[in-house]
Amino acid sequence: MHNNAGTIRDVALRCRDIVPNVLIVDDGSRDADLRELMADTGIPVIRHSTNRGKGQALLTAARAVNDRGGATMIAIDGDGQHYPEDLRAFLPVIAEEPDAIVIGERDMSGPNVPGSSRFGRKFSDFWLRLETGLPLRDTQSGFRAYPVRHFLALVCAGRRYDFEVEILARAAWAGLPIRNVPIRVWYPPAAERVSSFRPFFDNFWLTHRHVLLVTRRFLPLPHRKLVTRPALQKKRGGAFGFWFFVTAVRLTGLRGAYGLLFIVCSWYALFDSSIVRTALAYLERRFPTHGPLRQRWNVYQLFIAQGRCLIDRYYLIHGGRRLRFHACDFEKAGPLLQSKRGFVLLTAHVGNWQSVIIPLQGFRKTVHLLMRPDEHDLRSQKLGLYHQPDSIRIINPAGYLGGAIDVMNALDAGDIVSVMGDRDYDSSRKVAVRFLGGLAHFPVGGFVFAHAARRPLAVLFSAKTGPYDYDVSIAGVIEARPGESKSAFAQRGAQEYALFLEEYLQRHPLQCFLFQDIWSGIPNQSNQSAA
Amino acid sequence: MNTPNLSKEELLPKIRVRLKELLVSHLALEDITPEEIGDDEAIFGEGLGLDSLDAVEIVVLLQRNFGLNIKDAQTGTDILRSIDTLANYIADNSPNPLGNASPEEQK
Repeated sequence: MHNNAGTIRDVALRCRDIVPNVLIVDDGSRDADLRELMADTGIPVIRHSTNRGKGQALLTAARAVNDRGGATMIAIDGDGQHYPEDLRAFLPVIAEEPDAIVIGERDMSGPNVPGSSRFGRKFSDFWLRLETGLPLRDTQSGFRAYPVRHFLALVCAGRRYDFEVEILARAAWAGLPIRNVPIRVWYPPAAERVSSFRPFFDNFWLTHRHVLLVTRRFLPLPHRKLVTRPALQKKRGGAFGFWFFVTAVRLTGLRGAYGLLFIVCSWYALFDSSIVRTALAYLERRFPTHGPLRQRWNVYQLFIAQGRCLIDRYYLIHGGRRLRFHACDFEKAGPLLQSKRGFVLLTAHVGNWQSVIIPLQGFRKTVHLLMRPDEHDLRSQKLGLYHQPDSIRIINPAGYLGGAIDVMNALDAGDIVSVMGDRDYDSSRKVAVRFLGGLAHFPVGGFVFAHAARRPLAVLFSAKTGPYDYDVSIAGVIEARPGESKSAFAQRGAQEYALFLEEYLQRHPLQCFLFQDIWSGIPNQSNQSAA
Repeated sequence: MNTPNLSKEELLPKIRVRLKELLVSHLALEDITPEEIGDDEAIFGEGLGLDSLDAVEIVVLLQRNFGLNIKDAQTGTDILRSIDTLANYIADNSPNPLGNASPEEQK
């Protein structure tokens, strides 16, 4: 704290009511002698003789806590804006995840909250999202718990307010979990406010720090991990720097955003070996004669194509209306679409698969998407992507019995249930069928639903055919034969589906966003040529 | 259909037997006979080891054979536990607690 003599004694004593060990760092205050002020309380005060900045004060505190054998340090501002009683919210989270940084997320709904604080918070959260790829919340809040050992191991350059954002970025890179707990915040009326934050200089240094951190994020150097966690499913939507493109679309429109893809996609094609490997699993089967350099070029093209589809989707979600979705070959499923019976819609990770149901909306059927509802922009998608958001429902495959009951009820009610046919949410059952010259695993979920409910499946793919044009075509309809057993139907159906997909990939080879080696793990794989 | 004047206590064992037969035939459980299924054995996960795709079959089986529609996951959670919970639910709710022979069975 710095120049907060008016409040510090009260804050420190209230803290000690909740946690036994309290420590004050006096960052060169000139308004009072804190040692004297706290003398009768027994609460130690460490003093910087000059004002050295908040980051340095936190470091001093962390060293002192470490020396005293403490494992966790909770930092609270001395100016009275934080309520020491909110310490209680941190304790269970720390106990559960001792490696985590816990941020007190301020409730900004109260009176006297300056607009600049609200903006600053959003701005800071935005930068950290760029830097870490994580949707961190309230990254400017100073009320936080730090694991001391990790805190001291993270090397930060900033020493002032920029320290607090820098340490979050570095902690995220190092693999530390970052959690939030809700806290209250008190803003005094403007006249009584004491803050050491200097709007111009501190904002300048913050921006400077953010620019450096973003640059660091995109440098191809590994980050030292302090905590290794079981590999999280890495989401490329985030890795593509989605927010970066969001801004670009706003500023320059669709084509401007496409232009930026060149940088990011070259980046991933050159340096992100894990995703390149999954892309090559497909490309080497689709283009068996291409050499390594040509394949790298294909990888890059594939990334560009996916980037464009992502941007298009963002554009749609935010009300863009220039994209056209052409319904092709819908007559193949004519009777199905007109009838009152439900069916299973089998799609694939090709083209803009999230938009395949747009042309279906004319048929007045409710569509249930079997997908995890935490998909990042689902809510906005429902609001913006579909013209009739009420006709879209979500069935969570992670829900009770994999959503089986909901799926069956939907099909019985004459609705459409949309399922991914090429790879799905970690479902267990797959069959091996011939695909692009080898045996590949395809999930059987869609076929099992269709067989049980005695409904057909319609296979639907989307393809980007021009800057503003998509074709959404029905490749075919697959239906169980009378008396055909479930497993026989799943095997035959998956094979038919694989052939439809192969046909599609003959025409649109660089719109396959499967990014998974579905051929691996099957014995007797040789480089058979495609039939 | 043909369950005149049977009390619930008399019905339950018959329902259990019928259910086990239906499960084995519908789910093509090859290494298990109806007699080997325990009345209170968990149907999903440990126990019988069925998964969510099998749940689809059971939902359909209840509908076609017993005229029962499970409308929500909560009901599902309560009744799809074991043969016992299923049989109880059928005895209390089904218009046709001993089931009818479905066309699939006759093949």
